[in-house]
Order: sequence, then C-alpha cells, then structure tokens
Amino acid sequence: MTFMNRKGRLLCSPRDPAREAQTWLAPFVKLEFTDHKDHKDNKDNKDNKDQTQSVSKQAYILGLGAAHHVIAAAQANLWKKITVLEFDQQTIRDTLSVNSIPASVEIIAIKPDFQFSSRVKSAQDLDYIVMPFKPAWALFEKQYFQLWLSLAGLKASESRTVARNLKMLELDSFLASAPTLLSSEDFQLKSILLHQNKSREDFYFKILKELTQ
Amino acid sequence: MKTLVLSLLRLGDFIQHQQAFEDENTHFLVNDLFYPQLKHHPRMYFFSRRRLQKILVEKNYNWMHAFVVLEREIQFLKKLGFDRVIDASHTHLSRAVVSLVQDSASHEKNPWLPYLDLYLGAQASPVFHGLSLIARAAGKNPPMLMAAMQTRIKRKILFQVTSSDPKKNMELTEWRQMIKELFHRQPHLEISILTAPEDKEKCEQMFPDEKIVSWDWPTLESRIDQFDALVSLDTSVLHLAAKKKVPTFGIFLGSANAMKSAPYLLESQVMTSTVSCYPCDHHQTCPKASHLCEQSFSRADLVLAIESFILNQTLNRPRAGFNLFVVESNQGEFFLRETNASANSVLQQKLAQRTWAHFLDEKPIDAKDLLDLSLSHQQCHDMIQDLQKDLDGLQTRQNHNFNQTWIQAFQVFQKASDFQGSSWESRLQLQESLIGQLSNSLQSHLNLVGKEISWLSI
Repeated sequence: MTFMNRKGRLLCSPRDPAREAQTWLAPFVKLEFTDHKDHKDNKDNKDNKDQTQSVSKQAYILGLGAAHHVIAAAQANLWKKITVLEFDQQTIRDTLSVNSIPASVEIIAIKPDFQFSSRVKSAQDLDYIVMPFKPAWALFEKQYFQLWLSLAGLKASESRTVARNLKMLELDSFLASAPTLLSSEDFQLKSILLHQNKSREDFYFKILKELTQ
Repeated sequence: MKTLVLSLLRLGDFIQHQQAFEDENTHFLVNDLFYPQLKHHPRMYFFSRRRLQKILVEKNYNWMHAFVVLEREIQFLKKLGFDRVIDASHTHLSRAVVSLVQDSASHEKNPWLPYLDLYLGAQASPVFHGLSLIARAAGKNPPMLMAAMQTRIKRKILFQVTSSDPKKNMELTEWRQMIKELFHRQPHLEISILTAPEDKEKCEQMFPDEKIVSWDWPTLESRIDQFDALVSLDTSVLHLAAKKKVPTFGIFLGSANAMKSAPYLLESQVMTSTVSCYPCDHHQTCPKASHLCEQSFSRADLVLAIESFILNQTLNRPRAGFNLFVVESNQGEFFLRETNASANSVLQQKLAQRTWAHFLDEKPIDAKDLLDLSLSHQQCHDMIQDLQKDLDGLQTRQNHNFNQTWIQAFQVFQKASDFQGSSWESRLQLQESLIGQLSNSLQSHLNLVGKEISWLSI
C-alpha cells in the first residue's frame, strides 16, 4: 500500500515500502545497542542492570506516512512504548482507515502551529530515541525539524540552571546547532537539576563535559 | 574495608590496577568499553561511558537524559556502601565521580599525590613506575615485584603485533621480516602471532594461518602462561603477561612511556626509541611525516635484542637509535636500568629514586639503608665530577636546583663513605646534618613547578 499526500508527494516507497521500512529501522536498532553489548547480556546482568541497559524505553517516530516503518518498529519489540507524531491529520485518517497499527503504538496529531503543547511537554522521562521518518514529512519539513530539535533537547536550554552550567563549563557548544532558544520548561529539566545542590550538580556537569571531549 | 577502585582508563591500566589493589574487598569501576573482556570478573561495575557519550552526541537522543543516566549510576554506586573510593585513573572525570560517590571529601594530604599529578599526564618520566605511584597516592604500598617464571630456553614465543593506538604500532611488514630473521637465527622457536579479531585479516596477509591465534580475552587469560615469552607493543596483553609472570619484551613507540607503563615484572625488557619526540603526547596524533620512533632503530638491532632476551641474555653492544631497559629491583622498588648505562649513572638513578621515596614517604633517610648501594669513595667522587659537568651545561634555574639536590645527596654519601669503619651513630649524625639541605632543595624543586607539599621536620 502506498500513499500520496495532497501535493502529490510520496509518503513512502511506491515499490517496496516494507523493505524501505527495514532499511530505515536498521540504523536505529544499531544505535540502540552499543557494539559491545547484546540484548542477552543486558538481561543476564541483573545486578548491574542500571549500568548495562542501552535501549531507550520509548521511541518517538516523527512522521506516520503509510505506517510501514511504524509497524516494523513495533515488530522489533525493543521499546516499551512507541509514539508517532504527525502534523498531517488527513494522513492519519487515511492511514488508519486502510492500515492496521499495533495497539501499543500511540499516535499524536500535532497542529502545524504547534508550540510544544502539553502533550509532548508532559513527557517526564527523557529515556527515548527520536526516529525521524523523512519520507512522511512532505509539507511539514520545517515543523518536523523544529520538533526534532526540541525532542533532542537542543531547544530546551531556557532553564537558567542549565544555561548557567553550560556557560560555566563551556558546554554551550552543545547547543551551537540550535537555531533558537525557547522559553519553556521542557521535560521538567528544572526539577531534574534543581533538586541537586550546587556543588554536586557541578560535578555531574563536569563529568558530562569530559565525556564530550 | 569495602573499597571501590575507579579504573576508568584502558584495559592495560585496569590490569595494572588489579595488581596494585585487588583483594576480596575491592570492587572496580571500569569503562563499559571493556564489558566483553571483564563481564565475568567478580566485583566489577561498568561505567556507561559509551552510552553517555552516545546520548550526548547523537541527535536522536535528548542530551539531558545523560544527566539522568549519570545520576542513576552514581546513586547505584552509592547504595553499595563503599567505605573507601580510590581514584586510580586521576582524570578530571574520575575525580568528579569520586566526589559524587563518596559522601565526605577526603582531606588526607599525601605527598605522593602532587608528585603523581606532576608526572602522570606529562611527557616527562618520573623516577617511579606509574603503578607504584598510583598505589602510593592511594596510601598503599606498591605491589610486590615478582620474578618471571624461569625457563632455561625460551621456545614458545608469542608475538602481539598490533596495538589499538596507531602511534604505538610497528608496520606489519617489518614485524614479518623481523620474525623471519629471528626464526632463521633460532630455528628451534615455536612462534605464534596473537591478533585482535579486527586485525586478523591484515595479519593473515602477512603470516601463515597456522601461526595466527585470535582469542577472546578469557581464553587469552587462561592460555597466555603456556608461552615461554611474549614480545609485544605497549598493549594490555603485555600487562596481562607480566601479571601471569610470563617473561616479556616490550617495544615502546609513540606515547608508550617505558617508565610509566613498562611491564611490572622482574627481568622484563623494554626497547625504546632515542628520537627527540619520543615519548609523545598520548592525546595527539603523530605530527611527523613518518613514524620516526619506529624508524630510529634497525631491524637487525631489534632481532639481536629479542634474540638476546630469548636466550636469557641482555644485548650488550654499542647501539644507535634505541635504548634497551631491563626491569630490576632497587630494594624492592621497580627500577628500569638502561643496559648500556655506566655503573655511575645507574647508581645515580637508584639514589635519586630512593631519596625521592624517603622524601615523599616523609621518613628520615636512613644512612644504613642508602649506603648499601655500595658506593665507594671513588664512585662518589666520579659521580660528583659527572654531575658538576652536567651542572655547568644547565641553562634553567629549575634544573640547576634539581641537580644541585643530587650533588648534595652525593656529598652526603661521599662523606658517609669516608666514615667507613666508624660507628653507625656517627654516620647518622652526619647524615642528619646534611639531609636538611637535601630536603630544602627537594622542596624548592617542587615549589618551582608550582606544587605545594608539606615536608616533615627531620
């Protein structure tokens, strides 16, 4: 099954969408497993579970398209929760009418003038991977890109605590690629950071700084 | 006392840290990079370095999640309730981890710490082995220097021909020719080529298949002592062999600093380059157009040096472009003796090492302890003459002070040796009067390099 959106742009491969979905998924699966650990090792090492887990709990898929890639991701059975974010409501209606999406997959329709509404902001857990499916972006490339930046934390440096630490530790180069800094409290960053006292917080940021060098 | 040792460097460093700290109450925190090699070791925890780096760098993750993961790992370690946390890595990262894992900051002032700081990250060589320094900085005695297992003839030889660091590598074609020539001279040898799985294909193009072994780490750990000797670059395998008491011959190139990381095993030998850029900075790629340290010595010299080692001898002939060291004991302390050095020079280095040890241990120098260096009056006289010549050529105030220290030290021993035949008491009186000068010079040396250290009152 293939789809075309209203401007005639393909949302997935017209020849072999299933193969396209697998090709799309492979690098994310690889990214989720560090090259020296396999899934079995993680399960075996229960005593040290926190230190060996390498798969994110949740996957955010940017773009529903014809959903072949969403089904492939669900069948990989790696993530506890899969959330699909889609700007085009017509695409959601068309896809759901002809394609069966696993019940475990959550689909969120986002308005094109979306300003980080409560639904995404309520994501308290940062343990997720962002998986952009660009063939489905079609008319909303700019919005999807902004959403990606936001989910990757590249637009969330508004928190004064973070900004101060980034500046102090010269970590602000992290954010060099972020085009804008928003005035939101994305992902409850403040609550993560502010419950630490200052000196201990600084040690955490020092470690993160060292890891990026 | 339940202890956590932070060994957040490379695998070879971890093996050495094991030698220094391992007992049934010691746990290790190592980088997750070495999970495949170390997952079966008891009391082992893995720091998610790669995972954190991935979250921080990859645009598919929210970088702020790294903070959460790190905090979770720190809390996990804190819950384990360690009585003491030892930083064996001495990096900015490991120091921050120590500060977070242990509840109260340690305020112990150990004079070995500033000395360690001075040399560990620098290209300059300390007078102590890196392992000895790390143990002492943690308030422990250096690990005992063990003797290598003895074989009358070394027959089964293992060659580790690749290193993960390009700067420390030698061309595989050079290895092939060198091994070929060695085998031609010593046809009784049974040679095996050890290679990491990722280098196996390259090695198969250079060596016969039946000579190549490519084992996982547990297999290597269980089999390495079946060999009579190991010839290796500065790799984790070299340190594993030393730990297992397998006689080792190290070829140290690039940033491999013999004094800091030579195999901690008596009678091991290490060959190094004499080019001015050796040893280079560990964190930089080789800036030279060609690998000068590798090219500084000839294949013939390398073959002869390894042949001598295999025959339980030490190459003893004029040489160019390389130094050859052998690991000896200086009253139980690791000592790297340059095999061509004069007796005076060796005595001078041994004396320097012992004096530093006494100084940093904050113990009065015991004349009885030092005089067993068997310095004769003539030797003392010769050394002072040599030192005076060196001093004349010195340019900087720092070196001037440093060498002045040794001149004073030798004067101590010269005068002490004049007392031969007199009572120990009178010798010690003389020592004590002169040691004050010595300590002042040592202090000024440390001050000059910006380090503060408290000196005991003798």
